[in-house]
Amino acid sequence: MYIPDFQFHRPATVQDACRLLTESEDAAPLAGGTDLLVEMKQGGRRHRDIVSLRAIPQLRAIEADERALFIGAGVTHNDVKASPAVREIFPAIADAAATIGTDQIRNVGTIGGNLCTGASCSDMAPILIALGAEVEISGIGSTRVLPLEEFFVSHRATRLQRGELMTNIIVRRHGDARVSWYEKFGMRNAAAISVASAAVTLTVDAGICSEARIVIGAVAPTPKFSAGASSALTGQPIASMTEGSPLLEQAGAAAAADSLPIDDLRGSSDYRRTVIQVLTKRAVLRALERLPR
Amino acid sequence: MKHLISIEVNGRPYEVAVKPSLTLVNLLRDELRLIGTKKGCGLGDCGACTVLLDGKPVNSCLVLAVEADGRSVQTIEGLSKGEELHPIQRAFVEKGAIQCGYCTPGMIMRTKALLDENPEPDHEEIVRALNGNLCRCTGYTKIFESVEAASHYLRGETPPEIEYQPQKSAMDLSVVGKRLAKKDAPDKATGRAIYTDDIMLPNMIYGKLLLSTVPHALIKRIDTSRAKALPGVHAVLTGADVPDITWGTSPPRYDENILAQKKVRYVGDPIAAVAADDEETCYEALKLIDVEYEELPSVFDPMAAMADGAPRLFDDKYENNINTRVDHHFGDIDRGFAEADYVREERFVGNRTYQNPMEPHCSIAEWDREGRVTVHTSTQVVHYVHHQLARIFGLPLGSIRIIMTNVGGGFGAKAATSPLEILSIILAKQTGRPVKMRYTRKEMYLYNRGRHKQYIDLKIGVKNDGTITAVKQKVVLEGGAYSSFGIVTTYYAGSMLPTLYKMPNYKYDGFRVNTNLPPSGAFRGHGCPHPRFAFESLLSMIADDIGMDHIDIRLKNAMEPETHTINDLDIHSCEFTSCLETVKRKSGWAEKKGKLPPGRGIGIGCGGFVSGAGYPIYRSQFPHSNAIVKVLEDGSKAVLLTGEADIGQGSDTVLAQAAAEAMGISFDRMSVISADSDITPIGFGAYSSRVTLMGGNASKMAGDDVRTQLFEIASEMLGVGPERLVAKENRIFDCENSEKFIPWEKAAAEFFSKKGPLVGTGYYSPPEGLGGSYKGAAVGTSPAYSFSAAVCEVEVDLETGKVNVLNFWDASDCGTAINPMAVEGQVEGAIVMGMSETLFEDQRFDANGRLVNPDLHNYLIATSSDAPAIESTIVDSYEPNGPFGAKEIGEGSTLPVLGALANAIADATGVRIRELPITPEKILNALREKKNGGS
Repeated sequence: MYIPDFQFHRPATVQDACRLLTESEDAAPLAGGTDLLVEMKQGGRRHRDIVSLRAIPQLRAIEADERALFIGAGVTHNDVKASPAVREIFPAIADAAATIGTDQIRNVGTIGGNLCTGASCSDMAPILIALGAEVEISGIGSTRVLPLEEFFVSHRATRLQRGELMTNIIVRRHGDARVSWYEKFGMRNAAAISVASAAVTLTVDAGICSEARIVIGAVAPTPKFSAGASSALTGQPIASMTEGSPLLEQAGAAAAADSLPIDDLRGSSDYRRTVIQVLTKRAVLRALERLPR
Repeated sequence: MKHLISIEVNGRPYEVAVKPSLTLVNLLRDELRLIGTKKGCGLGDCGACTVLLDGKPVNSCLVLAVEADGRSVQTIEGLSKGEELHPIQRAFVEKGAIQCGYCTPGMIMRTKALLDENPEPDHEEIVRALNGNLCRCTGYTKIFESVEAASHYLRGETPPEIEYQPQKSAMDLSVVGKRLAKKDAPDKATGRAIYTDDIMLPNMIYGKLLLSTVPHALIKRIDTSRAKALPGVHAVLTGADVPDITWGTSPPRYDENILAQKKVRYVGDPIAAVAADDEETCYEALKLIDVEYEELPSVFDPMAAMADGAPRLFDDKYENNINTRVDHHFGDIDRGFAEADYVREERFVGNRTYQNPMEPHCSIAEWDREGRVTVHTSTQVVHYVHHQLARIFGLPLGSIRIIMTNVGGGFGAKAATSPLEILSIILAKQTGRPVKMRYTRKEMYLYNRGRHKQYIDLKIGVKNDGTITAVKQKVVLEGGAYSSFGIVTTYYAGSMLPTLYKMPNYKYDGFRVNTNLPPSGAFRGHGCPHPRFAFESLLSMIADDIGMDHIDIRLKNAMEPETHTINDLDIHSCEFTSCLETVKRKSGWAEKKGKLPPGRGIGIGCGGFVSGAGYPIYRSQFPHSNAIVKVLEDGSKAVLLTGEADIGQGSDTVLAQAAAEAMGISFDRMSVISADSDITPIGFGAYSSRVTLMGGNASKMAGDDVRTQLFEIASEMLGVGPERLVAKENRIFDCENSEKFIPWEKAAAEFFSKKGPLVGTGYYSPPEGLGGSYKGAAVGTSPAYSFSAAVCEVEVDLETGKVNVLNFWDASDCGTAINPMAVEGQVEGAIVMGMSETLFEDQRFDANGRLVNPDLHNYLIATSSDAPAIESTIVDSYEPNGPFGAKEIGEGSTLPVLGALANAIADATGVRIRELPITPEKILNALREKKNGGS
């Protein structure tokens, strides 16, 4: 177990990074390295060029204006978790960041890395998709923005093209009427990969859920927007979303129906379908608890 | 191309040229020689390599050194000021948070970051902060206490003292029975303790093994020419280049080759070895070795392997792949069941678990010009390694020197000779250079020697009042490809059941079966935890069936002192009943059992173990434990030389306490040199929970010898007959007039002046003739047996099946606890390890026999966030065969855990899981089945 040799680059700008990634026949960007270095050590990956993103300050900024929150793709999970802006505007994003790995991992692993790895068990993707987040992707002389929901293609495959970098995660504000929750289930109480997860965002207007967005994680090839669960709750009074209520049961069942889980070490597809129902229901209830009273 | 980086380490600036692929941990360890930072997994899962990077904890194995350019790093070496320990280090030492010490530097650095940020954390914050640092020894309990104590120290306060009520048998003792900090703890807390991988000898090169990638095959051809031609490679060996001799653990079952001879039997079987300038070159060379296999049909399931016509692993032995067969019948089983009012039979299945000591195995061999070889190695059993190597190489013991370094945990994984020890010697001989070989975490899993997965059919018959009339057990043990300890494991799986409860009739059938999987071996509790899990589960099920309380049925059948068991084992001290009564009281059993809300449950489990195997692994007349005490010429210190192995459990400390008590000196006057075959006398090492009793007896005897010799001189000096003298707390005095005394060191100095060196010796062999005369009667014999009971309380999420272990109350009869703090540490560690095995752990293989979870990312072990609150009690007991009345604790404390937890889960859910691990999915499936009208 060792890291095979490579050429190391540390550009100071996004443009230089994109140029290096384009010009090399075989380059990989290095953010926190908590996935990349593990895969290289295990012999799964080998690269001629590694492009470190550490020296690009722009990637590590968190900014908020009246329209949106901007999280640099290179912000570490612990910086997301601790950011006053994140905690104030979208506490569920901070909650999700806190569920990843261990402190040692969260101090180096980045939000952009978590998304660009493209794992279906990503802990950041469900809540960000539920919040309607977009991602900014930069290439040489180009920048595009696309909904995060469209970023994932299948397990470990994303829309990122050669020579491109994710630079920003953009989450538009929706005011106090919107509440969110991220519910994760792992095999132990810490440092566990998600067996299943559910993220919920509810926009509530005069006691009616005007929009529900429910996203399920680790139960399909990508984090997945559950159209069934979301539409089950949209337009419904929140008073009918109580523990054991038929509406919640319906939403949970719909989330399970939208899932395409696999059997693996952490659980059978059948079990995942059961758990995703429970997580969906719980996430809705917990999100509702966040409504200002 | 190398990059020049500037990095500040512990306040000191360095400019270093580094390869971009160099990790921070390797920069610290290999280039800057700061070896306090440990490597446990290399993949960011264990936290052993935690350092602070710009003040924040990171896994230094997952940070490139180039990425630390311009940043500051704090390591364990930067914490203490000169000789003065940092308050965190002091707390870890004093509170017993350090056992093997391998996780300690990372744990302390993580604590530093926590307390820097939050000087007064609450319990929950401490638990959460530490959940990225895995510890396999302590059960985290004492680490939590240490962090709290450190927080007090840093705020200038004195942490609250632990109240401890000494046992009756230790009331009059000065050193034994005291909660003393371990001898090695300060070195481990500061990163000074040397483990094998920390050693770098001049001119040293590295060795690695090529492991089979197929489960079962004939090797048609091996071509090493390309590997040999690679620059930097010094030797490439295959089966043709090494002695064609079989070796192993138990002499009747030596069946492993040093390197494969024509055949491989599992994915991971060693085929070739290379030595090169560095490990990277070794790995490159391994890729250049071409192996042509002719694949054979393989078999992974023991039942399938036993069937006629199944593929055979060995053509010349083990018919139907049955590697060991045990057929024991004591009393009359048919009569026993006929006398029963109620009989129930159930099948239970264990899991394939791995010890996962935090320190990977490592060995370094170096030959000198006189033809002697010195091996530094991380082992639990210096003498058995010594014996096996001497046998393999045809050398007398005197031509091999084995030095055990600090060992970062074993739990059985290091309880026998390993291929690293053998091949580092051969590679060192070939190359004329010192050779270091170490396993990665993945290679550890493939070498394995973990717990056998057992398939248990258990039948118990009872009278209406709960009295056991007969027990019948059939066990199939899945053994993997080779024997390892397996013959002994198979006997242990049967022989220990009758030690805990009285059973008049008992039948045991054991089958150990070879499969094309990594070899199973001896893991804490050796062979017994799964049968004990089955027994404790079934006993509680039967209690429910006959309407009896779970503790009452155990009290009804509880073993009593001075019993000769049905299978000819001799129990002496036994306070099992007291253990049961204690946990019943402390857990609030009467208020809780049957009265907890749904999803909450309480359960009891019991256990016990041998205090050392009655017979050695190979036929030998040597005393099992030996000790020498050498008193310094001025009498200021005494050095204990012992061959026993301190693998973190604290035997150096415990044995020194026994010797000090015997001599009448205080503990601070003791030092210990252990496990160096040139210097220390033979000890059979840390397996079968033997060290406290056997090593303790030898050390006590050596101390008694010193005292007796010293009394001759003291008698002259005081003018009092030696029979009237007492040595205690560094004084020798007249028992009739304690004012008439001389300082101990004065008498010792006088001894040296008149008679030369003051040296005492001691040895211990178990009583002769232990056990019966039937085949296999030796396994299970011991001078003494431990007993324990544990109550567990859990909360189960009935919608997901997830188990949260809330509490464990344990009571142990370990005789006199020589060091109660170390005993608590063993119990807490055993509880967390046992719950981890019960809930999480399982080796899983794909259809081609490949282990799919050979890491700490997919093979989960308990973190600090999973650990329950633990309250342990040491009951009053005195063992006549033990030193100062002491018995074992380390393995016996594992045994109650599985059953207690399984019973608590059954109580909480109303469903019984008979197959380990008890995963949320199994619980949920059982709940669903029950709802649908199943049982």
